[in-house]
Amino acid sequence: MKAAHHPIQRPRDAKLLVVDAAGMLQLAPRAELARFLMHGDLLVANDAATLPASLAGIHLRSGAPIEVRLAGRRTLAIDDLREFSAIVFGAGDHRTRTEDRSAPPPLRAGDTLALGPLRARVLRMLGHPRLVALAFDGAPDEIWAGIARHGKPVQYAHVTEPLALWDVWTRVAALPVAFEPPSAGFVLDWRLLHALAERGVEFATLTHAAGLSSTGDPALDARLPFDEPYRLPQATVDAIERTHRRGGRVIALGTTVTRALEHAASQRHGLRAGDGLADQRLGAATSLRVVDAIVSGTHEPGTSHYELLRAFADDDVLARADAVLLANGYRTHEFGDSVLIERAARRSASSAAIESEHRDARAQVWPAMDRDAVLDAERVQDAQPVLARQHFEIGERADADVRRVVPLVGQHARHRHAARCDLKPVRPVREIGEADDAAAADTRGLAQHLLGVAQVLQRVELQHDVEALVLEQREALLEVELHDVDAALRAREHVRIVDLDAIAGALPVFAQVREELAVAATQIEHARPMRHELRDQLHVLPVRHDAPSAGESTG
Amino acid sequence: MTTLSSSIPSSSRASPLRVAVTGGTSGLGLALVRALHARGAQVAFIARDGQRVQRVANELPGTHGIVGDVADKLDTHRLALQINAALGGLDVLVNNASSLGPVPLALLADTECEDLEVALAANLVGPFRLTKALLGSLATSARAQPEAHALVVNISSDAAVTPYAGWGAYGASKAALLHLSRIWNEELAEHRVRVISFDPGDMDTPLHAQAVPDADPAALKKPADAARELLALIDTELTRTAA
Repeated sequence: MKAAHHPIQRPRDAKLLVVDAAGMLQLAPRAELARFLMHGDLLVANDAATLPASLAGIHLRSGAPIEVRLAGRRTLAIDDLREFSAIVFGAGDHRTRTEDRSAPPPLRAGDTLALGPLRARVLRMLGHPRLVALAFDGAPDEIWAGIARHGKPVQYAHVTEPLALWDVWTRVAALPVAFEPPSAGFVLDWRLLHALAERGVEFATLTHAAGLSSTGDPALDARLPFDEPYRLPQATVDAIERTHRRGGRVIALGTTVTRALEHAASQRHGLRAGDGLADQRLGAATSLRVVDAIVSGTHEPGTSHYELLRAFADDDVLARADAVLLANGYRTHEFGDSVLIERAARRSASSAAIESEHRDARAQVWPAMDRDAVLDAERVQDAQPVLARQHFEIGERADADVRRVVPLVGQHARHRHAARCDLKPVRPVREIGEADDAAAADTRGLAQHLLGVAQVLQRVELQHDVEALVLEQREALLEVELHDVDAALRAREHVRIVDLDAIAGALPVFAQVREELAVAATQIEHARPMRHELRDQLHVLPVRHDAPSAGESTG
Repeated sequence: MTTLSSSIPSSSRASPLRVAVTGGTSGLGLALVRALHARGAQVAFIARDGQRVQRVANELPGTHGIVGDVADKLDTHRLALQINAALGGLDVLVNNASSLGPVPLALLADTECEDLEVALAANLVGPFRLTKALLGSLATSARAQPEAHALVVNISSDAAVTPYAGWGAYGASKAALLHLSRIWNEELAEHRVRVISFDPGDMDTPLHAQAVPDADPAALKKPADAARELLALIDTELTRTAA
């Protein structure tokens, strides 16, 4: 990957690599990010504004020029400016690579640093000749003014132009506590927030004091990330709980959000609003408790950012992702391109709890299936997310997080609309071959599938032609195309779905399908192209919803 | 006349209202800072003159005086940083600082384009930039208060609506600000950030004295009265339920 050299937060040609829970890869323009977020999901961003944390000045005892990079604080309290940790460089500026920066003069406790209008005292050394704890003189308002007027954003040599504050503030920047930009948030703009709202994706924020990503010193870099304070608002905790209840995904915008949420969730009392200090490292061994997917910049192996991604995806998946990023000229660093990684389907630690949740959800939901329901067409959005979500689900299969599978069965069914269940035979995919007829004959089974469709439709835009929907129940894989669903819905004719187990009869068919898929999968290095091929070859008949059969309609 | 409502809608807020006021050392801005301070709000105010900022901050302990020029692009994020840092976030931004343009007032055809630019920078582009830089805080505030709004108040004028001869630079810039407020209010409704305009009327302020030096101060409204009206408006708007 190559470095992004220009401080453009949202370049028109920005790219996105989507890695789903099955490790399948998909390339997309980043402008289409919203498409990969689904109704019911929650996007959580870090609203920290970035400090101009680079302060040039003089080490008074030696008279030597220095650059101080503020690197950490113990709390986010606005009046607690008593102490910062900081990295000190000798003469020079960002145009020299950090690795090549000269050492500062020997520092010791009690030294005074003149940093423009600011005066700071070295309180103590922090186990490294460059790393100090320092305190500024003066009242908080004076210190903030000094930092605001004298400081410059921390910058690295790969971006040559001097950065201004507006280059490093995201669109949602608020409390100035980040030492480097929470750069995954650069994808955000108000248009995207609008698009998310339109899709029924919730948005929330927390504040996390993103620390330095690099010091240029191997011994110091090995200590990154430093402990980072964060603040989790009640509104965000509420949104996460709502999201979990409805089976949506919590998508963290960036490593800082992931670190904060997972730290909060790992506390004894579970996820609670308030202040915390994220001191954990996330990596391959981490079992994620809250975050289902991450949107992040692209990072090179070995960095702490990259380590964190290993909590989401296995090494072979990340290696494939890296290869794809490389092959497609993705740009790395803070102004580079993005990845969306859904965590692999493994959540062993909490799976028992989730399973029980699952059972409860079924108990709640299944009786409701007999109820009449009408689709709220206004809540419904375009069909694309359904495809994406269903692909994730298909990929998960037996190992899937049950929380993800349940919704198809009807987690959202309480308010779902049920499409008319008098369906003309659906002709399944050509690849199924002889299976077609058997599956097609089982209209009742299809009706059950449509329960899944129904709840999905609740999320998707109702168009004259609802696009292809991929359905999965247990082992079943079937893709159908629905037409004129809205006509039926406009007629507000209610439907009752019966014989929930009818689908079971179709299972052998789908088992066969699955075998074929398995063969295909071995022939193709990874499953994605195969799936595309499958989708592309789908030729299905319209499913009519406007001619109910008397027996099944209660409307 | 609008009377002072009983209190800041503290019932729905766990902590004091956080308000930033530009042009906070004279005229309406100063009166507003005083009134907010008296009511227990957390206030940050901005003005260009460091000594005057210090004087007001001393007069009103607990307020946060910030030195800067809203018309200066380079100051925008510095100001936003200090406001956010001083208040720990932001619930209400009052874009009050204004420029007349040419002083004395000039017919439009006699207005130097630089003077028009000065008026636009202070009255339109500055409030645009500062609001934009603070939108993250305002939206965060709104999310934290599911029953309330965050609020931007842009100080307007009847000159924004009525074409008074001699008020070209000021009137045009305020008209643009008025329309900007209306559009932004539409766009930000989904984030529960309201952007409103407030016309305080002709007040006995330094700005008015610059524009109409021979006006009878006794015939002009007291800034403190306009500030009280504005506070009542802020109360109403913050708690107004979404349409």
